[in-house]
Formats: sequence, C-alpha cells, structure tokens
Amino acid sequence: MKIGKFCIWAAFIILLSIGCKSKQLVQHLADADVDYIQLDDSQNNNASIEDFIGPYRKQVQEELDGVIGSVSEELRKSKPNSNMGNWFCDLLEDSAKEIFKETGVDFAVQNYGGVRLGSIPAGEITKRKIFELMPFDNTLVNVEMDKETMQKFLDRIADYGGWPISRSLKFSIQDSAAVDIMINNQPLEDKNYYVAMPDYIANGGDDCYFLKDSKKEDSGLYIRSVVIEYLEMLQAKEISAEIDSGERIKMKE
Amino acid sequence: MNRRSFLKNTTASGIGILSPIPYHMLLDQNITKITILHTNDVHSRVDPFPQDGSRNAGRGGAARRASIIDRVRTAEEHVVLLDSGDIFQGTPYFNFFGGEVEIELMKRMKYDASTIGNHDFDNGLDNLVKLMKTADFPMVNCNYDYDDNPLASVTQEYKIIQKGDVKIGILGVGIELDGLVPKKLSGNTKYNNPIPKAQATANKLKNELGCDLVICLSHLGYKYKDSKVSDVKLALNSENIDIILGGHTHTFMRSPDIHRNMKGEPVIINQVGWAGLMMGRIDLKFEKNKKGKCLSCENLFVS
Repeated sequence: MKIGKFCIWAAFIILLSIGCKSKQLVQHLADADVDYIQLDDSQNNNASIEDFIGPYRKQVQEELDGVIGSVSEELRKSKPNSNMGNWFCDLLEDSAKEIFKETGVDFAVQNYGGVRLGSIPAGEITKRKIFELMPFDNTLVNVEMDKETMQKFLDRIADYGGWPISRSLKFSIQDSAAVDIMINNQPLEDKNYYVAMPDYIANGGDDCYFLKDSKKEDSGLYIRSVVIEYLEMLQAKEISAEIDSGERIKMKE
Repeated sequence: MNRRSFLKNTTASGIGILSPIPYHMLLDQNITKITILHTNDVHSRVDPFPQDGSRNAGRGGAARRASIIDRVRTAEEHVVLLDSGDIFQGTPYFNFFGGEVEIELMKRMKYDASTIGNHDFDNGLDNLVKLMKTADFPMVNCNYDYDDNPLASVTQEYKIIQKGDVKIGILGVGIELDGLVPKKLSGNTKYNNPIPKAQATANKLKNELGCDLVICLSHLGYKYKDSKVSDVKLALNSENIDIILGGHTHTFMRSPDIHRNMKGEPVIINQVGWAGLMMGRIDLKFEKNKKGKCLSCENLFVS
C-alpha cells in the first residue's frame, strides 16, 4: 500500500516535472525589424531567371509586333465625335452582336477616358497598338435598359460632351441633354434596349450609378481582346474595318 | 533602404525592464532569427517597367527579385518567402501564357506560400487549378468555401513551416468576390466573413498545433473609409495573429502599421505596393526561454 502510494506520487511528480519542463520553454518574439527593399537598378539580375524569361519575352515582343489590320487614314480621338471613336465602337458593336447573340445588341458605347491614345497613324495596326489604346482590363458587358434609363444614360454622355458610340445610335446634345435620339433609325420608344459597354460603366463608373442595378450580362472577355480578335478575323478574310468620319452626335443650339 | 527597428522604444515600460544580460551574451541556441520576405499584387510584372520616362520606369522585375532572394538566403539561415495574392493580370505575359510564367518564376524563387487575390481568378477557376497543380507551394485561404470546387485540391486553410526551433503557422484570407470577380470566373467559390474564419484558424495554429508565430496572408486590403473588412479591422478584432501581410489596395507603406488586437497584443500589418517594385523584409528574433521570461525582449512583446 505504502509503496504503491509512493510510486503513484513519484510517477506524478516525475510526469509533472517533465510536463513543466517541456511547457516551460517557449519562444518569445523578442525583436522585429522591417525593411523595404527597392527593386531599382542597384540590384543585380539573377542570370538563370533571365534565361528562363528570355524566350517568353521574345515571344511577347513578336506577338505584340504582329500586324492585325490596317487603317487607311489617321484615326484621331476627339469630342463629341471622332473617326477613332466611330471605328472602335463599330468594331465593338459588331463583335458584341456575335458574343451576345441571344439577347441582341442595339449599339455599343465606350467611355472617352477608357480610350488611351490620341491618335493612331494611317497604316498597319499591331497588337501592341490595341494594348496601348486599351490598357485597362475592362470586360465587355451587355446592359439592359428601359426608355427612362436610356434617356438618363444618353444625358450623362451628353453632359460629358459626347463619348465614342457605334453607328446604330445617333443623337444631338442640347443644353447638356440628349435630344433627337435615334436608335437603329427609330426614335426612342418605350421598350428594353441592350447596350454593349465596358464593365466599368455598367457597374456605375463615370457617374453612371443608375446602371449599377441594371440587368446585365458580362462576357468576361476583355474589350481589348474582343477588338483584337475581331480585327484578326477581318484580316483573315482580307477585309479592312470601315472608317466612318460621320457625325453621330450633333451639337444643337 | 530604409531599415526600421520599430518595436523597440514603443513603450516606456518596455525599456524599464531591459535585460540585465547584454543581448550578445545570450547563448546562440536560445535565439532563432527568422527572415520573412514578402510580395503582393505583383500583377504579372515579369519585366521591369519599360524605360519610357514614366514614374516607375526601369523599376521592378522578376530577375532582380530572384537575386535579392538569393542574397538573403545566402546570408540568413531561416528565410520564409510569401505572397499576398494578385499574382496575375496586368501585362501581356498573362494574356499570352495564362499565368504559367508567373507560377514558374515563383517556383524557381522557392515561395513557401501565397494567398488568392481576386485577379487570380481572371483566367477562370479551372486554369487557376491547373496552374497551382504545377506549383510546389500552396495557396492558403480559410474564408472561401469550395463545395465540389476544384480549387479545394490546390488550396489549404493553413501551412505550417518549421524553421529551427520556431514553428510558423501561415493562414490566408480573401476578399468578397461578389461584384469584383465575375461568377463565370470564380465558379461556386463562396466567400465567408474572414474575421471569424481567420480567428478560428489562428486559434487552431496557436493553441492546438503549437505555432510560435502566426502570419496571415491577406488580400482584403489595408483599410477603408467605410465599414468594409480590412487588414486593420482584422487586426483589431482578432487574437493569435502576429503579422498580417496585406495586398489588394496596392499600399506603399513607409513603415509597418502596428495595432493592438483584442488581447492588447501587437499585430504588425505590412504591405509593399504592387508590381514587384519593392519587397518587404521582416527580421524576427525569437528567444527560447521560460514562459513570461524573455531576456532579450526590449519591447511590447514582453508579456
């Protein structure tokens, strides 16, 4: 009995001391230093990483230098209309009609600020040019809007002094509002329209907050990629995208 | 380089209990130095920015990053290399090769873990899974649910790394996907409130799995004016997370932000802008000693 009790006590104490010993030692975070290492030209390049990147870089350069079409005249960006805006949005309308076949597309709009080149010289167009024209990763979205929303949307464009629009829309700006609206050669009527545009606008950007809750379909495709693919398709068929210098938005006194 | 030792002198009381034994006299075996290197929002910046006179011209680049990492690994024994998401999207490298260049670079640099940024879904779920299957580091995330979702096979709630005597737990949290990532791309990835999820994971790492340090890789964003969940909110409303390495807001910090968590313990928040323009380096010293007794602690971490 006594020995038994002693053994139990001894075992308990041994276990306790082992337990305490292993529990006693802990890691204390004693000090922390933070440093921000700048990746400027004071840093060397790792040679094997450079070797790995090399072939990819070459391929990117070659791809970007690839010709995907041509324009017969210089394209210039301006408000309220421009041949660049017309050219670009016509490409968007045509490709959007393919992408959103089921719902259909009435016209295409691109916000002025999303187009980042002031001019594209006459001649061959490379992929790099389209990347420069559209550096933002905006996707193409088809937005449903009723008559009232359409009026609001076009008023917003009018207030901005005009944005690039495709051939199926025409209107005039009078006192910062949209008047004489013609969509597919029909005056604005009480029905649902479908407008292809960048997700940025469709999600309420550039003060188009009233589009935020609209019914919409996002293609998940970058506008840049859509335009590049459409130009490549035209090139394969040996067709040049038309350039229209016509006035789609008129200024009305 | 702007090296900052920011934990020292943070409280007067800390200085009052300066160790009587000079730091260098402590036995080496009691001190473990851990060096964390981290990036966020690299956005497919494989090459430095082009020399075109723009603000970042000539800066960044994966080959430079690799050489910095090599140099640190040569000088330090215990290096952990982490990324806080948005590896992809932003240069033609991603458009043309779909992310394989970025992942291969991270493999070659021997990243230990990354988390999932919203742009990491940009080529769709299946592509992300395919890429991450080739990677030898996991994406850690604890607040996305993936029932019947292939992402489950390449993500982990946490990762534990043993460096010397120090056990490091790494968890990850991701941003609300609704309105940010098209459904088509993120599939049935379901977002949960990151604070309770991170808390549960951190508790597990510290209390059950015995981690000495818990790092949260976050793609929530540093802080917001509105009530949106952020790194600062996570720091203030949790415990058992020691360091939050952030992303998403592309915040260039001049020094780390330190907040007290629910237990009053400091949480270090750091973020290094975007595009691989800089790397963060955090050197931590751990002293192995009896609980509550730390000879070289000169700072807030004295318990």
